[in-house]
Amino acid sequence: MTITTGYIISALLLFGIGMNGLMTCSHQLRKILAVNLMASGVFLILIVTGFGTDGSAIDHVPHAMVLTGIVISVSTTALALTLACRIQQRLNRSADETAEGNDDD
Amino acid sequence: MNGGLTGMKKRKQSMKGKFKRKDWQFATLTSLLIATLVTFLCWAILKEPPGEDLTAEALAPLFVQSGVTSPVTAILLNFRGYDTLLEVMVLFLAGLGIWSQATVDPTNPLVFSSPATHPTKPNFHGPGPELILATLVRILIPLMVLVAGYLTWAGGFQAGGAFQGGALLGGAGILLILAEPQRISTIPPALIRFGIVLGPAIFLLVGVSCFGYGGNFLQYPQPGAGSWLLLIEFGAAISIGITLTTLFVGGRPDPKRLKGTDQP
Repeated sequence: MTITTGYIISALLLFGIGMNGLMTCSHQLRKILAVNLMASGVFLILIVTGFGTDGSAIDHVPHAMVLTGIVISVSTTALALTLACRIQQRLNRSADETAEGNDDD
Repeated sequence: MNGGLTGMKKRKQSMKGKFKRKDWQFATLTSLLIATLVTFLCWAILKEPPGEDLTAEALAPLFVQSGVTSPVTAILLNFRGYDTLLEVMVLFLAGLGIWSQATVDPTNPLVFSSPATHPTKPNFHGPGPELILATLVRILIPLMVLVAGYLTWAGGFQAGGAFQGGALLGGAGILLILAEPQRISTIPPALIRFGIVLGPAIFLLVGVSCFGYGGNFLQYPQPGAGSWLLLIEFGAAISIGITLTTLFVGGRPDPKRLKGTDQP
């Protein structure tokens, strides 16, 4: 049981919590947050695998991959948030329309 | 027909009562399955012995050839340049996706232009930013741009690089939008588009021009690879900064409203 083991287990727990949220939460914002949590778990695992146990040299390839992954994660989050905003706009608009229709009746 | 409809309605209502229990069952089932998956993944990762990877000693002669001394930058832009090109493209595509979805009022960039959903618009128009905020922004923005340039350049020999510099530029852009939205609206949209395309275009052009030096795509000519990498990094940093700012705004500036604001 080294420090690395602890890091990997907590990273996987983070991934699991995110996946659970993605499947059980119905709100879009929560789903987006859950996906981000999953991504953070994966990044942590990658960083730990590059860490190098027992004083061996640091492997830079996973670190570079994490840097790439963060940018991808930001892009997808931004796109998902805009989509969620649009969906909410549409829902609000249709709700307003039905409310107006009910007022006419 | 009518009877069938009411029957369906009744069934739906009775289903609604059951949904509570089904939700609970579903949540338990998913959390159990995910717990199993996490345990399995734990076992799979921890079982894997620390492999005989390409260590830093084996890679050291390659790093000398790469043109930069920072290992992460060498991997990102030289050894795995293809990945980074695709990454820049993904960011570009996300920006494109957001621009194609919504328009925003350029004088008020934080509000979607559809008035129906925002009956009470937050008023950013006021008499201009307050004195402290304006002074802070005036001092901070040039400093942030300077540090972003340094970070991008420093990527060649230490921690830093295009993404760190670009993130800082994006932060400066977001600060500027929050503090002085009207100033942002004076930037011509063509310039923003040019800035967004600049990084991916330079990356692609450098990659293709490597053919002219007898290499493959993104196989930089050996002496002076460092200057090619620096060129790519600065283009990418500018584009990343501008794209991140546009991602924050959440839509393209509405050209109709822009014309309207130009007239007075």
